[in-house]
Amino acid sequence: MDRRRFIDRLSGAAIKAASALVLVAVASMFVQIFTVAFPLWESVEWRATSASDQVLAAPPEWVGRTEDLLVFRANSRRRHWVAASDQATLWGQLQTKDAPIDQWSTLDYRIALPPEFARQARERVVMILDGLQLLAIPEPSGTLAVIDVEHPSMISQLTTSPWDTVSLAADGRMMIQSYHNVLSLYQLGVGHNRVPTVIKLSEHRLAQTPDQILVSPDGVLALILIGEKVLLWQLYSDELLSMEALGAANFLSWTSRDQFKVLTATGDEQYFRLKGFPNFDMQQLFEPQWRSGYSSAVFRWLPIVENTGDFPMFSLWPLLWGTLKAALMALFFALPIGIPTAIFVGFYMSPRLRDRIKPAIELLAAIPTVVIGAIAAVAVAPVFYQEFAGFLGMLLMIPAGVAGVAVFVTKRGDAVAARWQLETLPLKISPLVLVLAVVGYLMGKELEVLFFTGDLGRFLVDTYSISMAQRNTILLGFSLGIALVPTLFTISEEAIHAVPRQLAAGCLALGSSHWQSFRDVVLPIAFPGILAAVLVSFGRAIGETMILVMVSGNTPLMDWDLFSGIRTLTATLALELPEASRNGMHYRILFMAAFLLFAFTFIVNTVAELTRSRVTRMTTTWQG
Amino acid sequence: MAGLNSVHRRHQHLFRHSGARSMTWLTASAVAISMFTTLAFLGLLVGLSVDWLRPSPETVLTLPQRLEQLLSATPSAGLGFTGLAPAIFGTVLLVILMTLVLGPFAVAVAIYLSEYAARGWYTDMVRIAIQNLAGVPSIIYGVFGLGFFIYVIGASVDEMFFADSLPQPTFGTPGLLWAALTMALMNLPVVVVATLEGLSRVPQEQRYGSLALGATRWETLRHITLPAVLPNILTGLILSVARAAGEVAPLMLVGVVKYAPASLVDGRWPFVHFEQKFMHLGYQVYDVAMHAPLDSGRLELIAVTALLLVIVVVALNLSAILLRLRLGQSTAQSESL
Amino acid sequence: MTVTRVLCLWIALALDVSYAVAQSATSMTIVGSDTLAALNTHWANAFQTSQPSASIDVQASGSATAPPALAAGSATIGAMSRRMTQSELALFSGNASLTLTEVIIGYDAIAILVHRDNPLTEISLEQLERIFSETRGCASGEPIRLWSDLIASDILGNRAITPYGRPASSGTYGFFRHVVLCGGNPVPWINELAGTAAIVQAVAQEMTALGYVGGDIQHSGVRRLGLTMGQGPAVRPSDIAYPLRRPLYLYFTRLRGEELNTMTCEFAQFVLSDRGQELVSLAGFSPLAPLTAQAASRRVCDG
Repeated sequence: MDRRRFIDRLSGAAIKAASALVLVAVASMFVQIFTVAFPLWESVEWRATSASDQVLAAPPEWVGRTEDLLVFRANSRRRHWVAASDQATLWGQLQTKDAPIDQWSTLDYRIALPPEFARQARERVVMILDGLQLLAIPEPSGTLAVIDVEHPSMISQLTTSPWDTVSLAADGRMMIQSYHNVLSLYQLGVGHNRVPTVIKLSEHRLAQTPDQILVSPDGVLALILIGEKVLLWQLYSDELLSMEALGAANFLSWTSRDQFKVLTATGDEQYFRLKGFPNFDMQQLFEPQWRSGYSSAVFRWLPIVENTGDFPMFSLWPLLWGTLKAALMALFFALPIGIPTAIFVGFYMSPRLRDRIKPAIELLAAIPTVVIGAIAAVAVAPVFYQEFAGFLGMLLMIPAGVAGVAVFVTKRGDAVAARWQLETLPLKISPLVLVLAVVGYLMGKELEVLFFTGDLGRFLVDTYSISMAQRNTILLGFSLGIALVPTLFTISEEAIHAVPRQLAAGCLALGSSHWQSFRDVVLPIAFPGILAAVLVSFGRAIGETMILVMVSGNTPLMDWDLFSGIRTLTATLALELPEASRNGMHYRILFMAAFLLFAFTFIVNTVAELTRSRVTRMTTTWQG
Repeated sequence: MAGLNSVHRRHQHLFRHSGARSMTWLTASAVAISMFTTLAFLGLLVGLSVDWLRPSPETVLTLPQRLEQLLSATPSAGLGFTGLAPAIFGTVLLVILMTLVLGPFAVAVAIYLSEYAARGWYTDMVRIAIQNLAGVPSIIYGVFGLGFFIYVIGASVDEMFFADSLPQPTFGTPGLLWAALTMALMNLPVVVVATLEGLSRVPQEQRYGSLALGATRWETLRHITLPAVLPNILTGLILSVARAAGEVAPLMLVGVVKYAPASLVDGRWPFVHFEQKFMHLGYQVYDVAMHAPLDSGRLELIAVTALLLVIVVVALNLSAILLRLRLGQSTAQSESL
Repeated sequence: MTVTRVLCLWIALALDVSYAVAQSATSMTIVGSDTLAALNTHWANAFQTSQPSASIDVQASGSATAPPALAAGSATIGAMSRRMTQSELALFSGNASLTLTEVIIGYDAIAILVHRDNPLTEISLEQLERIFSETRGCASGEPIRLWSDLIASDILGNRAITPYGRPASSGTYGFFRHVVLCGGNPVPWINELAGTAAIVQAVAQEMTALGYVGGDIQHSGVRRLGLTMGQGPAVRPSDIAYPLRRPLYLYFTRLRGEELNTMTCEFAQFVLSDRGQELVSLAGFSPLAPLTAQAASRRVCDG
């Protein structure tokens, strides 16, 4: 007896625990996705740390000659370079990894500097840019001389502006100059013919003249020392953060990407590490950003996976825009098919036939979207693109033809309608649809020849400058629409069918037509259910992934053009999350995008659920 | 009901008003158009697959040889395409694992909602949670699986039990177990709803009878209620298996790979290697569409792979539907008794 | 009851199949480049044929996936169609136990593709930049959006160029961006498709398309363009001077200060062997010179 009780209690507890686990799972989904995204907002802080190791040490014979020698270190893709220079000579030790094996080969060399550069010893910088080893020597008068070390005779003189203080990033492409209290940010690059280029990115005015400027090795941050205060300049977001005073600091240097060293007046060395994501701010996600090379501020989704010192751009708008555009386009195709089908099956069809047809449509809902995506991308897209006029003819002819016949039967179709068998009507119409499709296709082709010079795509370009891409929004909306129809149908059909038939029968008995009884009695009751169906399908369209990955072309554009491609949130998650390095900025921004998607569909579904439960309540009231 | 059916038979009535005629026509046309679109899509799929099956002058292989190549475990001569056997095997293992987790969990939740719970805020919350889970985009489950199962739970498991092999993660990396858990969570609403439907059909009198005879709640469940809803549970499980076989997006984040030889099950302890990455039929469709070799049969190869997936998924769904139909009859009988 | 029986049968069948294919295995995972995916799969297969006890998983979603996976230890071999960057190498310099062995396993030329009937035969790097780049890091001049800016042709007229490329995770993307765009930002209307084959197919079916892909593409629907630089004649992708030619890498993780473990070492040697290099050329890449491969093979396992 006791054992039975015990088992009973135990099973009861297990069952209750399972129900609690559901809540835990849903809550943890919210919390987990949010907590990954959250650290993006944490404020940037310094933390004192212990010393870190240097990547490459200077050869021992150079050490101790700090008085008359400048020692440089640069590291890049396949080269480590240690160089030293006095007024007239540059000695370098280059270590390369060009052999197929991970072994360094060392090359020592010595270059006599051109005499005109011999003066400025303090600020010259050795860097490796796009695989070239360059010695950049900024002149206070506002020229930047860049010497290609492999071809010392090649000297490029680039024009910047006059400066008092200057700093160049070793691996990145950034140079900051200050002239009195004005800071200017420059980006360096190398052209196709190994010619260095320089572009001015931005300018800032400070209260005081800075004592020292220091760009981080990867060129994404800069430290600016003004008296005892240090400013952190986030070069991505072009924002200046004031940091607390570091005491009597008089010299700063970076030791790694997020760590720097402070040499105090007393000669002590202190190390600090940056916490948080200094390059993140919300504006980046939702406001247009200006970058070098753009004429105005733009919305761009441009994650940089490979860190080359370039600035990634994380504007969520193009993705949200694409998601919305795709979903609306899909509904545009799915609604006129899905809802009338639901009306016919739920209202006109006899329950017996309905019970047979419904499972067939549920089967369609089960077809994996990856299949729809694969067929649409591989088999339909090229044909759709090449035969666009024909397809357009089809898309216009089928509804036009059906509507035309509808007008005909409305006006004078008594004789025709008398012979209709309701149950088999759709089957009888099917050949008509086929005929309409073929006629529409042929007419489209014919009209293309007659009016559009035989090539609609070309006509659109020549006349309206609209260029059609193979991966366009129309095709995407069509394939996504196909995936939505079963959902749309099932939910709205259930809403229509749930309306008690006695109500409609009563109307019919009072002399109204079938359609009148539907319009005035059934539809008002079922309407919230149909609305719920639209909402749920909208949610599905927003959350669908595979069709979008395969058919959309993944172009993060923001335009109204139906002939161009799009990129959606879901496709971006599927394509980029597997490769985003864990807990990096890109990874966390993707989690935030996922959170937005999650929250949005959660709201849409809750609203849909609430409207649907209203129908259930209303219909049960009537039935009761 | 009967009255309306007789109305259906007298068609003139339906079409008496011109507005009624046009609406009947329009809605019927919508049905025809959806049928047409569906048939066109399926026709394209089947037609391309038949093209693949038909021996062409370019291929020297006969049909059985081609099928064998398609379903083999080794890559074919053309680069980039692998036989489907490991993918089918990976899918089967995934759904078995998922079913083992999902079945008891979902049934327990359904039983709680139907048999144990009193109406109240807690029950409502569980209900709302399940309803909402059904609408969450599948990719979100993938994101959650990656962020939580793999990087939180998996990483902790590694720290506790596999600390020796760190930093080489054992469970802190995408793999079969986490994919199965992700799929189980995703399919939870399917099975819960199916089971609830069955539970609501079990006559209350049967439970009262059992309890009156002195059985405990658990015994009533075990011997009376659960056997009655077993077919419902199976229906739900079959539906979720079909979904797990066809859903690709979340798996891309939690452990599916392009190529993994059959190392999931072997003779070494613990025989089934839950931490390993696996291949999946749905992912294979994506992969073949993106990477299939560029020879002349590419399109057909994609179609035949996709058709195979469709057949598997539709067969599973069909069995669920048949099960439900049979079940509807049997409960109707028991009710009439 | 029937249901139970069917279920049992199903499970039995599944297990049966599994035992048929099961082998006792030493497991390795190759993560990384999609360009190298097919090659990796074939290496893995050929290697398993000679080493039945080995088991190799291949994951291909882009070169950038390799370094994090290697550093996290979830893979032992990284396949990359570009070299690791300094910040990626930093993942290992901070790692007390793991370090890397880098091996070049062959060369790949990025091909610029157009439709078969496209009259264009060659294109300059500058033109490519003006088509693909929004910021034009090499400062090549005004952007090009229309075919009429490239070539006067009746078929193309002044239709817009539809650029095709790989997603940001791909090493092909990185290399293209680095060399052709000089690190500048790509235009947002580049169609990014997840697979090389998908791009080739799309280009073969779209008259206005211009795409770049890695690997040696042989397809009747597309043509590869020659590249011109400055005044020189056009360079074909098969030429050594082709500017978009890049080495392909495998990275092996090993414990700091130790040699590669036996199985990884054997795989590395296999890759550099005649058979492994034969697969490289079969997959459409240029293999290493035999002597280089032999020399590399001798040293590859050393710590």
